[in-house]
Amino acid sequence: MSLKSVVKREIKRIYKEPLFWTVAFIMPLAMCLVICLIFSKGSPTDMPIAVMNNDNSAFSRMFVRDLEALPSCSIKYNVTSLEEGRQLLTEGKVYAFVAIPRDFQRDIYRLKQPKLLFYYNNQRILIGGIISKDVTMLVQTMMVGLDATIRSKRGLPMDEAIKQANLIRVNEHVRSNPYFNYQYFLSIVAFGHILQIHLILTMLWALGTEFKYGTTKDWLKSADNSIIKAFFGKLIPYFAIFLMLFAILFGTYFIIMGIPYTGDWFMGILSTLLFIFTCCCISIIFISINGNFRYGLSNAAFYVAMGFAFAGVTYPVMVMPFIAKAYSATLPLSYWVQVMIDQSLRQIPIIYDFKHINSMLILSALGLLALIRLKKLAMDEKRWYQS
Amino acid sequence: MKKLIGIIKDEFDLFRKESGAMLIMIIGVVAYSIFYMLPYSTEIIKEAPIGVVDFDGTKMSHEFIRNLNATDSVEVVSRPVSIDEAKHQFYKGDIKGYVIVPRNFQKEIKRGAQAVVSTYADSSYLIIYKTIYSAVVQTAINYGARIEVGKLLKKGMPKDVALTVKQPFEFVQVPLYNPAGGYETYVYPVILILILHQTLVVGIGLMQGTRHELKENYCKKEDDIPLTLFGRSTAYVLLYMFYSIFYFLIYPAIGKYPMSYNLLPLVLILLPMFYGACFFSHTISYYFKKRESSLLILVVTSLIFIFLPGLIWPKEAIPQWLNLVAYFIPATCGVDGIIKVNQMNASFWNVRYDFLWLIFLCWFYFATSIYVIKKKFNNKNED
Repeated sequence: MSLKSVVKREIKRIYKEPLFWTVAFIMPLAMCLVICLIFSKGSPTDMPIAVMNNDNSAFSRMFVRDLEALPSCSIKYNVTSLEEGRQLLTEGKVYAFVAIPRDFQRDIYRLKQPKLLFYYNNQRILIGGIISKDVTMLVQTMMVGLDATIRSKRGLPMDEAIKQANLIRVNEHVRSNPYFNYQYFLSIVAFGHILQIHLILTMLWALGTEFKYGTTKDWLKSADNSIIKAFFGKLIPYFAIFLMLFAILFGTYFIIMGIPYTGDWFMGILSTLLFIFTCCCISIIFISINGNFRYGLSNAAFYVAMGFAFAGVTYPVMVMPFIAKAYSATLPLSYWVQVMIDQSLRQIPIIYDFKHINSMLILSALGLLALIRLKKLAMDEKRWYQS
Repeated sequence: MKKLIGIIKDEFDLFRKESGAMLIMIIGVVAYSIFYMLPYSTEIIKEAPIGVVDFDGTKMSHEFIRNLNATDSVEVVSRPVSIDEAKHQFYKGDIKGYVIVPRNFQKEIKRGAQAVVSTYADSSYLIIYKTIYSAVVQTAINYGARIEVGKLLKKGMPKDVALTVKQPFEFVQVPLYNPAGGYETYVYPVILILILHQTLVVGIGLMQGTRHELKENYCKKEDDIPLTLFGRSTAYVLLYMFYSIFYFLIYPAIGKYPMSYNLLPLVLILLPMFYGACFFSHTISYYFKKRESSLLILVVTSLIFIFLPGLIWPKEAIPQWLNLVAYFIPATCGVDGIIKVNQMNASFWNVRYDFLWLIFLCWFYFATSIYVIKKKFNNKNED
C-alpha cells in the first residue's frame, strides 16, 4: 500500500507547484514545436548563387539555364567580374559563384581546355556540400555530353555515344535517408536533447526539493522507509506525464507532419520507455552527490547542456577522441537517438539495436545504485534547507 | 565617469559573491569552450571505411578497387562475398557504405559498353555520404577515362588531343573559407560565439534572479537608472571582451582553423552584441521570479538559439516569420557578422548591416530594460 501513498503524496506536491506544468510539460512541448517549425519547410532549396557569364554563347547560356534548374540553387545575381562575385560571397549574400570565362565555347572546340571556375562557401559545409554536389554532377553530365557529341559527329548513334563516353556509370543508392532530408536526423536529435534536459531536470526537481524543504523523512515514511518504493512511487506520476508528452510529440511528428517511420514500432516504443526511465535514474546520481538541490541542478545542467553535439548525429562518435566518446557513452540520448534513427529511417533489423537497449539498462542500473547513498542522505537532517 | 567606474567596481564585487553566476560566467565559459572542442578535434573524417563486393573478380575489377582504395577519402576495409554479408557489416556499423562491382564488369568495358557500379552509402551523416559517393564517382570517371584515352592512343591520336577530348574543359572548384571541409571549422566558431552569448544572458539572469528572490530593488531610488544599467552591463562586457581575446585570437591559433584577425570590425561587432545580450537578459529576466527558473529556461532554449541564427540549418529553409523573430536575438546578427569577419575575411563595410542592426537592438533592449526596472519600482511601491 505504501507505493500508493507515495504516489498520492507526489501528486499533491506537483499540484502545489504552480510552475510545474510550465517547466515540465508546456516548455518542452513548445520547444519541440519550434524545432518542427524550423524544419517545416523541408530540405534547403533555391539557395542564392551568383553567375558570371562572360561568354554568352549558346553553350554557356544553356549551362546557366541548367544551373537555374538545379533544385538546390537559384541565380540571384548576374555579375560581370570575378571581384564582384567574390564580394557577394564575402557579404554572405550568395553561397556559391560560377564564373564562365570569355570565349568559353570557342576554346572548347579549339581543344584549348578553358577553365570553368566554381567558388562556394565551404564555411557552411552543409549548404556548400549540397550545392557543390549538384553543380559537380551537372558539370560531369555536361562533359559526358560534349564527349558524346564529338563521338556522334563521327557517326555513332547518340545513345551508344553516351555509353562510350561514360564507360563506368555509378548507380547511387542512398541507404537510410532516401530523400536526403537531413532535417529528419537533426529534428530527432533535437527533440531528444530537449526532452533529455527536461526529464533529468524535472526528476531532479522532484528529488531535490525534498531536501530543499526538509521533507525527506516524511517522504521515506510514506514509503515505509523503503527507498526503492519511495523512488518508484515518486517516478510513477512523472512517468505518466512524460509518456503523455512523448505521445503528443510523436503524434505530431509522425502522424500530422507525416515523417516516415519505416521500422519496427515495438523497438521504438521500448527504447522510448527506457529512455525516460534511464533519464530519471540519472537524476538520482546528481542529487545523491551531496543532497543539495541547487548544486545538483547546476551540475546536471552542465552535464546535459552539451548533449546535442555529443549524441553522435551531427558528427559521428566513431571519429571523436576518447574523452568525447566517454562522455557520449554516459548520455541516454546517444542510445535512444541511434535506435530511433535505425528504426524510423534506416530499416535496420531490430537485432542490431539490442546493444543500445543494453547500454541504457546499464546506465539506469548505475543510477539505481546511487539510491543507496540517497537513502543515507535522506536520513540526515543536516542535508536539509541547504541553499 | 567616476560614478561609472564606481558602479562597475560594485558590480564586480557583487558578482564575486554570487557563486551561481561565477560558475556559469567563469567556469562555464572556460569549460564549455574546451569541451566543445573535443568532438570535432579530429577534424575531417579522413578515410571512411567501406566494403566492396566484387562479383567480377577480373584484372580490371581488382584495378578499380585498388584505385578506389588509393583515394584519400575512403578505405576498403572489407571484401564481403555477398550482398547480405555487406548489409550485415553495414548494419553493425563496421562499414559506412558498400560498393558492388557487377559480373561482366571487365567484359562490358572492353566491348565499349557501359558498366554499372552500385554504391550504397549511409546518408545519416551527409559528410560521410558525400565523401564515399564522390570517391566512387571520381574513381569511376578517372578509371574510365584512362581506359578511353588508352584506346584513343592505340588508334593513333596524339596524347594531348586524346586527353582534351576526354576533358573538354577544366572544372576548377574553389571551396572558400574552409578549404579542407573541416567540421570543426564550420561548427566550432559558431559554438564559441553562442557560448559567450548564452553564458552572458544566463549569468545576468541569475544575478537578477537573486535580486528578485531577496526582494531587492535593482538600485536605490535616487540612483540614475540608465547609468546604473549601463555601468553594470559594462562590467560584464569588459569581462567578455577579455574572454574574446582567448576565444578569437588564441583558440584559433591552437585549433589551427582559418582566421583572418580583422580586429577593428571584430570589436565593432562584439561590443554591440555583448551590450545587446546584457540588456536583452535584463529585459527577459524580469519575468523570472525564481533564481533557478532563469537557469532552467535558458538551458532549454539554448538549442533554439543555436538553430535560429541559421548556421546549422540555413535561413533559406526556415519559415520567414521565424527568421524575423530570430533577428531580435543579439546572437543572430552577432554570429553572422563575426563569422564573416573572422572566417570569410570580410571588411567592416561587408558587415555594416549586421553592425547597424546590433546597434538598434542595443537601444531597443536598453529602453525595454529601463522600462521593466521602472515597472518593478512601481510594483513595489504599490505593495
